[in-house]
Amino acid sequence: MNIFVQCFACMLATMFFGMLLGQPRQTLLHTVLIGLNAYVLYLLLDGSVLAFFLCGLLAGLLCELTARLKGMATTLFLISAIIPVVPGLGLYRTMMFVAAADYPHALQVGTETLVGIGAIALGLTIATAIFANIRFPSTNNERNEQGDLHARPDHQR
Amino acid sequence: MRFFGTLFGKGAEDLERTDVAVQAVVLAARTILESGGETYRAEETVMRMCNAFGMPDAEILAFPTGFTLAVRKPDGGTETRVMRIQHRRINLGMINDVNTVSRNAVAGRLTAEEALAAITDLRAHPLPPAPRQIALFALAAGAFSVMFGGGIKECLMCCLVGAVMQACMPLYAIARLPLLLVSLASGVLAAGLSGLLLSLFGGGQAAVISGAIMPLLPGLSMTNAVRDTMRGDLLSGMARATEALLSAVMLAAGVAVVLML
Repeated sequence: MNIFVQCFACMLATMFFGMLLGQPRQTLLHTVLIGLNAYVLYLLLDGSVLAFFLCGLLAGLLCELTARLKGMATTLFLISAIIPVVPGLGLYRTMMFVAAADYPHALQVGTETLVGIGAIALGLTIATAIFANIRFPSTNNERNEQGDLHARPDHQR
Repeated sequence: MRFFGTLFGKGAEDLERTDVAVQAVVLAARTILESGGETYRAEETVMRMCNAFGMPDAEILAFPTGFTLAVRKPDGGTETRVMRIQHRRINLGMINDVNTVSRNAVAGRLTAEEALAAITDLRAHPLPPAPRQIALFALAAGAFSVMFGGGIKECLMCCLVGAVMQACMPLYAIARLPLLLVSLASGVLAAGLSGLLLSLFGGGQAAVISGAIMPLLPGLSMTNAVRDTMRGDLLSGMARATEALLSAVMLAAGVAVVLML
């Protein structure tokens, strides 16, 4: 039960966050679903460093794929899609320990948080690298192999 | 011969058109960087638009805080522009819109004049109105607090805290606070206001405070830092990574200062 409430909250949070950043309307649904996927994976794997990495990888792959299918920039999807996984709670707990002058715990939780962020970044990086080497059959000549940028000007063909 | 042709009127119209094209390109790059776009996006957009406007010999070097652009004009002269990016504010919709304009220009559906007009038009109304932003921030913060295990009480408190945090944003802009101090002030506000509400109504502190600071965590800077670095833009990547790290630390420091009291 609790899990379902959390997942629903995750979808709402992703949506409102995306709207706050001025995300185009037609990308919101995709972002919410990708964010939900990443968050469910994160819950299933119970917050280890590996979980952060896999969530980053999953969100990155799905965002790159969606961006190519829609012919829009990957960043538009990525920013709000990874927000449910970003360790805000870890940051808060670190600060609680710092405030209580409990430095060993602060260092431990702080390091965990930083490593988590690094793991997400690594997952995203690998997803980007994988897609940078895939050429999609272009159905529409405005899409180049990068998918998220522009048509190649005629004189470069 | 070409020199005389340029001198005596023949190239005047050409020159003017080139000028408009350079203006359009500069405005496109500026808008992308001001909206928090990746530097490689600004660079690629400029290169492709220059190509489309008949100035294939162009070079641009962009950073999160500015760019320099040099193009060889059709009359043989070189035009160089340097621009400092003063205000950065994340606006994903704007990045997408400029992208669309530049795609249309590259596909030949827009002339330089039309592209310039379109981008100027986009810049005229950049962001959703303030009340809507406050509502969105509040709702996002509330949803995050539920994600972190808060109940209805925590959610409502977090909404209130979030609304006040976003409502104070224009004040920081008026006071010209540097970006990092904005993070610090927001952190102080988040923890202070949450503490006040919690002492009045009780509830779980972790869910309220961490929910309220979630929307301010530098997710975009972090993601772009990775993407810029991956493209080999090491300077931009480092600049953004530093920005992300420092603003997260400042946010957390603001929270910690209040919690220590």
